[in-house]
Amino acid sequence: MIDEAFISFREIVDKLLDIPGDFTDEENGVHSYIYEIEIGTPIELDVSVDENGKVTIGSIPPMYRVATSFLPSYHSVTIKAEKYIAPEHGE
Amino acid sequence: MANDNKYWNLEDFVDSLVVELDKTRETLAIKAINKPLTYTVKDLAIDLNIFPTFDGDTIRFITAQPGQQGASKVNIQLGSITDQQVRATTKISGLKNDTKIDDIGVDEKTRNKLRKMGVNSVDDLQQVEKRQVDIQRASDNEIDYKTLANQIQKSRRNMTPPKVNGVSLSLDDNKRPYLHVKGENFTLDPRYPPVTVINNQLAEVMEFNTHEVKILLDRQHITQNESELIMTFDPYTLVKMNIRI
Repeated sequence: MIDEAFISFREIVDKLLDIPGDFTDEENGVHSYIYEIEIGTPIELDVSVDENGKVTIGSIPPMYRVATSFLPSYHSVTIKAEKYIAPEHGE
Repeated sequence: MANDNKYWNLEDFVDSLVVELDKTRETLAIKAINKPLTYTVKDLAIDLNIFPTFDGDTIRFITAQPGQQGASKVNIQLGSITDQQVRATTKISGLKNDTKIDDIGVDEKTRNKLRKMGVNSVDDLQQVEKRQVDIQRASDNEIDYKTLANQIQKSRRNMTPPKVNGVSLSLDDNKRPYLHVKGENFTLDPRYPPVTVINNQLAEVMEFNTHEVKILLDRQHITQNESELIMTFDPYTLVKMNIRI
C-alpha cells in the first residue's frame, strides 16, 4: 500500500508524457511536432513491500518548494520518449 | 514518506518498474486512437538514494528517508527491446516441462549455491551435466549431487503421480488367478520394476507397463476379508489400497 500523497510510477510517466507535441503556424503554413523528448525531474519515492516481497513503487515530483529542516530525499528520474507509432496488425 | 519503509531486493524493484512501464505502453494503444500524437518511453534512468545491507547472502536496499544523510546512489537504466530481440538474446524460462529449482524442495543453502552458479531450473542443471561439469566439485562439495538428483527425480514423479482406475480379478492361460490393476503412470523408469505386497507377503508381478500391472495370486491371498495391497513403482512412489479378493 503506497502513501496517499504518492501515485503509481505509471501515472507519473503518463502525466510527464502527456504533452501537446504539435506546433502549427497556420499563417505561414508551418507544422512541427516533437518526435523525441527527454525529461528529467527530481522525484520522491515511496517503495512499499508486501508480505510476499512484491514491491510497489509510489512516486511524486517534489511537492513543496520550501526549505525545511528535514528535506525529502530527492531521487531523480530521466525519461527519454519518442513518438508512438502503433504496431502493424499482428506485429 | 510512508512509515513502513522496508528493505527490498533489486530484482523485485526492477520487476515492479518494468511492470509499470509495460502498463504505460498497454494504455498507449487506446490513448493513440483519440490522440494521434502520443509518446512512448524509449529509455528510462532512475537515480536512487538508498542504503544497502548485506546479510551474508543477498544484498537488499532501503530508500533514504527525509533528513537521512550519507545514502548511496544507485543508477538504474532501462532500455527498450522488441519481443524478437528478447527471443534472440535470452533463454526462455518457464517451459512446460522445465522444473524450477525452487519447486523441487532442495534446502535453501543448495538452492542459493545453484542460483549463484546460474542454475535456476532442472533444464539448466542438465545443460551443465551435458558439458561434463562436476557440480559437486564446482561448488566445493557444498552441493550433494546424489541428493539433488534424487530430489529432481522425486519432483518429476510428483508431477506425474500414478493413478489407479480399477482393479479386477482374472485367470491367466494356466487358470491361475491374478489381480489386474489398470491405471496411468505406473512405471515411468525402466530401472525400477514394480514390487507388490499383499497382506505383508510379496506377490509376483506377471506383467507390467505404464497402464497396467498383473499380480499373480496365491491361494492364501484369496480370502473373504479385506486385503491390503501395496505397490511401489520406483523409490518415490507407493500406492496402498484395501481390496476384497
